[in-house]
Amino acid sequence: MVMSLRSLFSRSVGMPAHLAQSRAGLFRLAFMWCHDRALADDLTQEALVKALRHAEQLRDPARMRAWLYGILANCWRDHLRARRPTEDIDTVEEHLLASADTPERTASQSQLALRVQTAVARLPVGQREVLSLVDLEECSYAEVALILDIPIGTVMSRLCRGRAALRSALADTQAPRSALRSVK
Amino acid sequence: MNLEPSEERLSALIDGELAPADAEPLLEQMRIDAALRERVAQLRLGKELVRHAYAELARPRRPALAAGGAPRWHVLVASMLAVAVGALLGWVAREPGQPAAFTTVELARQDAVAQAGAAERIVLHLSSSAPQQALAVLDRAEGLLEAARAAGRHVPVEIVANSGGLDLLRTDVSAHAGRIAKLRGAYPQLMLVACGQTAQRLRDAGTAVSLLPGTVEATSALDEIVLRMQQGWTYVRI
Repeated sequence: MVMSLRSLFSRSVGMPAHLAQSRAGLFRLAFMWCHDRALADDLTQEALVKALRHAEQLRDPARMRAWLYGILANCWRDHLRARRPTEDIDTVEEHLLASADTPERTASQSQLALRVQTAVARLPVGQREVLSLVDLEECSYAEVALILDIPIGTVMSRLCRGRAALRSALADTQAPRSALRSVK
Repeated sequence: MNLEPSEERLSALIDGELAPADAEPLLEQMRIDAALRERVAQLRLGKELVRHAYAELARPRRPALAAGGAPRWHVLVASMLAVAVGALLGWVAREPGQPAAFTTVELARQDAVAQAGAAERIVLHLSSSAPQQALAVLDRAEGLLEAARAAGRHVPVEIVANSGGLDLLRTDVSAHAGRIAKLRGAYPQLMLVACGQTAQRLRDAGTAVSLLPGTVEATSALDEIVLRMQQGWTYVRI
């Protein structure tokens, strides 16, 4: 995969640097959807390869982010279709706990981050997708609608339901305001 | 009669999705309605918690574009350190409470601004109570927001205030509360973040700290700035 990706990058003109810069955002999104680093990495790779192969489909470079995230969303849905229903919340929590042991996560805020991630992982997929695009990647609602191919009204309702569920989940453990203060 | 604003409307407000004409009545209502202020603060807090929870995941574990062999963690760590040290240098470059030299230091992450299609995001850092600094940060924010709107781009701008700079965001102290309210009405993508450590120091000293509507209290300004830079925001020290 690495070799093919490199060779694709070397053949393309203009796109590679932009795609490489988008990698972190793609990975972050994919992780928030699946909460599994290895899978998030695979989805990111897959999306980048598809983007390079279909670069000509991007007519407006200003829409590259939405276009890339849309490709990632498609890769993610393909994965869900292929794997369902083998993943469940216990699997996700195992992945989260496993990744919590890594140095970069224990270095800071792992406890709070883990609690938030666990709460996010319990959200329905659709809410998780919308929440990640709005909160993490700061996409506009219109962009989210485009990326996920859903109406803006659905974006808003999923967002609100997701936020309400998160608020309720986190309130059970610790007041969010004091939790945020504890982040170091 | 003010109807209770829906969650969707409040979400749209904190996400910068409301047109100024729609945001203004809400902001006005927030000025007199403590419960509404709290609802908005909780929403923003939830958004910040999600960002914090995934902030450290900006770097994939496997360096896909590396030339093979050992992972390039040392490069990633070095770049993260460079960003953090840059923020720290800006942070400690002058004494708290002293008017800063009227210079702006911009530490732009190389890969953020040039990214095609990605909206630029800017964090403006104010740590002085000097009147000209407070004016400078607002002028800078307004200029950026105006320019972005004229260009048809959505550019979030965040003012992070600590030390003496916190005065700008304190309800009973700020000399610019009216202008800030107008700016937030016109540009919902303008965010205000107060340093929790500065606020706590004031509280410990017996000073009541009331922040302007829509202001979020972060753990510390430094945490917020480092987080933003990790997320690819452009840092501008006023």
